[in-house]
Amino acid sequence: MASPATGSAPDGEGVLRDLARRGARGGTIDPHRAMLRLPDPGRRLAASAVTALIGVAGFLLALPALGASWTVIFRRTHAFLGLPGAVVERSVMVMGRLHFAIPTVTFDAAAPDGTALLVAAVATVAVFAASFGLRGRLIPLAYFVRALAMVQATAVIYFRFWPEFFPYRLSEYLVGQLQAGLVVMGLIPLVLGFTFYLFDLSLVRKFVLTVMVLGHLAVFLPLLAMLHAYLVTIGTLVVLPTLFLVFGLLLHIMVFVAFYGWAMSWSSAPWQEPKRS
Amino acid sequence: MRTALLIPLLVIVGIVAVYTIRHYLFTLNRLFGVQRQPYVDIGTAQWPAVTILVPAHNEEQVIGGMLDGLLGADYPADRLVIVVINDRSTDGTRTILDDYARRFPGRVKPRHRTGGRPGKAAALAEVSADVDTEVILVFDADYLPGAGLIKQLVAPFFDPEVGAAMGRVVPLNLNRTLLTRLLDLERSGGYQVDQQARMNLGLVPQYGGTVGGVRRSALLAVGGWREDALAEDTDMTFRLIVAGWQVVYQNRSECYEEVPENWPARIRQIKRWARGHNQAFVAFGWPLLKSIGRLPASVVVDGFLLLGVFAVGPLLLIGFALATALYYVGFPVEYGILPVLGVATYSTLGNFAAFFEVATAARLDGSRNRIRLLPFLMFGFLVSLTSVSVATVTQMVQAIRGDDHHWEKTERYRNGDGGNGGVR
Repeated sequence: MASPATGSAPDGEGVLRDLARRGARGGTIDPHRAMLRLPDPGRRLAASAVTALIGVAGFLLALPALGASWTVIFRRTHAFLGLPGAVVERSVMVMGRLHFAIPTVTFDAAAPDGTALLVAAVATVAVFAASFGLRGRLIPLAYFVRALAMVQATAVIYFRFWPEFFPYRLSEYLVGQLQAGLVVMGLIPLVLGFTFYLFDLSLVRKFVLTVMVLGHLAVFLPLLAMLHAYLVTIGTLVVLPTLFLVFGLLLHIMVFVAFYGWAMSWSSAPWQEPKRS
Repeated sequence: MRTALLIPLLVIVGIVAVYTIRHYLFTLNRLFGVQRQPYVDIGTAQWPAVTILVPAHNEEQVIGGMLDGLLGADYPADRLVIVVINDRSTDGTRTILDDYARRFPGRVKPRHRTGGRPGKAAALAEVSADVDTEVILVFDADYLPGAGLIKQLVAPFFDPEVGAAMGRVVPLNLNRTLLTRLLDLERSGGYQVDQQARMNLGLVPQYGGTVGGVRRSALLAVGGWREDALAEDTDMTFRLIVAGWQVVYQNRSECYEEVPENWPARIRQIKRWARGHNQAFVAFGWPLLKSIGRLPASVVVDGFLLLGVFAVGPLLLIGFALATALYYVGFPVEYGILPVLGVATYSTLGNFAAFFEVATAARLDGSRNRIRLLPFLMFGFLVSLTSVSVATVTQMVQAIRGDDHHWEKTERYRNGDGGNGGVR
């Protein structure tokens, strides 16, 4: 049995608690899983809060360097994809004090013309219809594809009737994406603090997970933003709503949940694993 | 226009936030709180006579295993009667039941229904009228009870305030498909954390209609089973709560069940649950709120949130629609950063508490590796969200048109392979 919840440091009290659970032939009778819980809630919550705040502070201090690295990624990706215009920096201020720059582009994507709208409409209908071919184990995928098609349909309808009112330009969109990503990144240490740091895992593992998630987002956010820029450039603004609503923050959160699920499967620190009989 | 979109969206964000906080507090309580299991240590007692009701419709694949489990229970044989309600089965269920009745006279008593309203609630209502024992336990036909389970489920009824008791349901066939794995995670979160936290906090653990039971006098006091209840378990839970009875949960009392192995069966199941819950929401929402003062405020609030849990699905979809519309009209900058953060958090991390709950439950269960499937729950949520919303809208239309409902039974897959039964 592997459990996070019964262990304690091998102090005097811990020895007594272990003796109380002695079974036949000196083995240990572990509590049933219905009874398990974590000891020391006050200490854990306080330690988790402090660790999380340290993580947030570290993230805030790293913001200028992060912005600079994003600019580098933007410039290299911009050249690699052969996009028009140039990459420029936009000044951002956090909490009224911390100034740093994040990148964006100087070009804007075109609104869809009649042909582009027709292609988008046909593709949307085709994808929606194809989703009905996904059956059996693929039903969840079918639901996702239909949701995707419905979101894209809203874009087609919008640009068919009210294209002049579309409130976003590509350059502003990229800034918004990166800013929203920064908000998510800033929340990561807090979310992990109150959902992951509470468990009996070593400080190193907690640190490693936090760095892995933030490191992933630090690289993935600008790359995804530039991929969006590329797709909008070749696909016109009609693909922008779907990219924003489905393949933006939601994607980052799914990746975060995957990291979280993986980390929650890690074993506890060795002295905190329940003894096997 | 923007304000007209933003205000209802923020209301929905607020409602979702309440459920998120609730999930989080329940998980913290389960992790750190004192685990209240006041009846589980009762091993020696003057055990009362018990009737076990097992509604069955075309259960030839599973009913034998179920009866073998009950007949092997550690409970005085002369105080335990098993009544299997064969509700118009067209397979071999009747033959199997008659064979058991012949081999175990007086202990297994089949009731073959050939008329009356179909469905579990109607079957229970019809047969309960003839039961004369004070404790009535109910099991579904696909369950596999352990030897000690009956005593554990009867023990709470020594407390005269207890009207219903519920044990933990653990999927048996978890290693069949991705869906069964996901349902195992969901069940783990629902029982190991949600139900136990409610028990710890003295709130409203739900009587789940199986692996549990009701006190006959309490059942009679609240008017018996409602034949037209789509979810007789939720209906009974709230009738008992409103009438002042206690509903208790025993996390230690595990019983193994089959969960749906394919998505169409799962969709039908969750639609049925949603319709039943919605029916209970309409029936008990206001009576529950009126009970404030007579019942603790915490019980009323928790009960109301429990009743509304399936209404969150359609609300979330409306929220997504509003957020999409707001996106097209442009977010009103003049409202400041807080609404933006609220909406962004809602649409991204808003449901993370549910992942925390499930991961915590699986970790407490000692099933760490299963937590790696956590991101796939998103797909399960999408299917559930859509199904619940469709069921709710259909139910509203049917209510307006005055249509009757149709009972849908969950498929069985008994195959003999192990899963959670081998965990500990």
